[in-house]
Amino acid sequence: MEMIRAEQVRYVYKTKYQKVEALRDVTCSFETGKIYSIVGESGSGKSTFLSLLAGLDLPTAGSLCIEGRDIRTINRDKYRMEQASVVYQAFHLFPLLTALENVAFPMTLKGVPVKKAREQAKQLIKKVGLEDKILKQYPQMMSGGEQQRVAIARAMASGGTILLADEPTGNLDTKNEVHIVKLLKDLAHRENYLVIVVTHNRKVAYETDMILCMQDGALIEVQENG
Amino acid sequence: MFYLHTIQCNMKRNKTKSIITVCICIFVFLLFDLYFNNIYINKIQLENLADIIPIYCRVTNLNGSLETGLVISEDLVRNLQASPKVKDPAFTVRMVGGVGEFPLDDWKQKLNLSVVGANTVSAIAGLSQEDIRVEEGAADFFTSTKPVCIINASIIEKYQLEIGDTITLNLFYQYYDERKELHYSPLELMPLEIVGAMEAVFSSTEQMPPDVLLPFEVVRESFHRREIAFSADSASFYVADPLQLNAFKKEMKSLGFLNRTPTAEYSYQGIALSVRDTTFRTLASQLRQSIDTLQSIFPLICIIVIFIGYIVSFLLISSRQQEFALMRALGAGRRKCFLLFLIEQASLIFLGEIIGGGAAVLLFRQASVVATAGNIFLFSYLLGCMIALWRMGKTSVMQALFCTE
Repeated sequence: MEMIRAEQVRYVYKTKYQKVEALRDVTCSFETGKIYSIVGESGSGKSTFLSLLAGLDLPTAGSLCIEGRDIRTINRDKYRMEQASVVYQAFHLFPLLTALENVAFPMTLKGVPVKKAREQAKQLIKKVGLEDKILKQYPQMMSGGEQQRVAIARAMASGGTILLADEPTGNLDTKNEVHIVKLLKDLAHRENYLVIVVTHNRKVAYETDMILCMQDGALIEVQENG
Repeated sequence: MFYLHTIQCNMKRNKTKSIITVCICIFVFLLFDLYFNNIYINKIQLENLADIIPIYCRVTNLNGSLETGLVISEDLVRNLQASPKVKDPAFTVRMVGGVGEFPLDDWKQKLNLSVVGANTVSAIAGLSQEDIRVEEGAADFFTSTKPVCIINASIIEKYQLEIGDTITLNLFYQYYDERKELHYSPLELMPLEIVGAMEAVFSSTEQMPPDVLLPFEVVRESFHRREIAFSADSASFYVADPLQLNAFKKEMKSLGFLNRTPTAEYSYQGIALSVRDTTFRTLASQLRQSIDTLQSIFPLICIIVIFIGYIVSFLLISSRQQEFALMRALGAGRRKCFLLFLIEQASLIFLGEIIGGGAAVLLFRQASVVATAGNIFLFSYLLGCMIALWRMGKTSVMQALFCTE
């Protein structure tokens, strides 16, 4: 089922000295139950495109539709809270919250009572393959792989079906990289998530169902993996 | 519930930052309150200055050389007594007298008593309330209209009198002729009840106290009975409201008082006024200047507090920019994030203000000043904090969280 459709998406931002055209006429679509990767050189516009997909900004031109509705017409805060979650290369967990509190946070933000949110957070942490001992640990006490799993659990906590990942394995060793990629694939194939991964890593890209190649802000190739 | 829980957790987890914020607020609030307290103290001192340094006025002749032995017209006396701008007016009328009736030719031998009519004890130089002993029921002697008198203890002894006796005095009033020579003329033979005695007190600078004291109104009535123009010998008083000195001077001018002119001819006419306001004016102008200066820097003080609020908040929350961006990325609206941080900061500022306020009340003991200062401080500091939060709110979530390409 088509979840996101980008049509001729352009994105221009201004720096102090110049205008930068970060995205040029990007057209593509994303379906639930699949995992996509966006690859390209640094500065090719991958992360910018991901942030537009996350609703953190609006395209300068073109249209970006979520379940058939233009992103300009929807409440983007609500969209991020209920539908789309982002996983970052640097994990970005709240440093002063424990793993359990980090995962419970999006739920409390939505108004779920703290106790209930923590119960659900426990289950999600288990689901991403972490043990109970991690629950009360602060991010700085965890390994990179553990932090990224907690971040994925937090993304799942919003209850949405769109998971956007910006270089999710960028700070991980090979062993953890494999675990995280497997986890993301499982989410797409078993839990019917739409997973979009921005990566430099060709190995990770080949694990996904579809590879989108970007260059200088344009989508130059879409490659389906067998 | 979300706000309460999150704010509570944030405060606990950012314990050091929270404590620093509270401590800075206490310190800044104490300084702010000190400023307000300074204005308040200066204002109180100015208000109380009139009581501490009352402005004393004395009627003099035109060249200012004479303060007693004057001729102060009855109109002037009456106007001074009626003026609301005059406080505690004190008048005397000086006469001479002799005991009992005697032929007019014998006045040189018989007029051996100095008699003064006064409306208050302070009108008589060198005499205080402690020097006077009056019988019960005669406490209002100076305002009495009955024919009563207080006599010097030595005179009582000389004439073997007692308090409660009646003494008949042959009173003579004094006046000046056109050549400014002093003359005495009979006023009245007056039987007077002795209601008190006074000690003879000698003052090196002032005139000798009189032998006999009479109530001022009794003497005035006597003049009226004899249809003789009444005049007071000396007059002094205080300015009722020293902070309205200009209005007072205007009123005195309208009553007919002239400015002292040292070059004027010597006379006995009490028509000039000596206003001893130098000390009061100096202190009052110093206090006023101090209040004006303090009040003029009020906007600057507020700006400084806003600036401190801004700098402190900015420095302490700028390290939490990522936290802010992350909350935004998780779907918290800009307003929600702003409110969350604002309530957290406001709670800490309020806590600092409460502790600082308590300390200020203990130190300065002026709760009303602390309350006023507290409101303005809270508003100013919070405004600074809001500007810092607004700046933080402008952080690009994309830049804060995504990998730079």
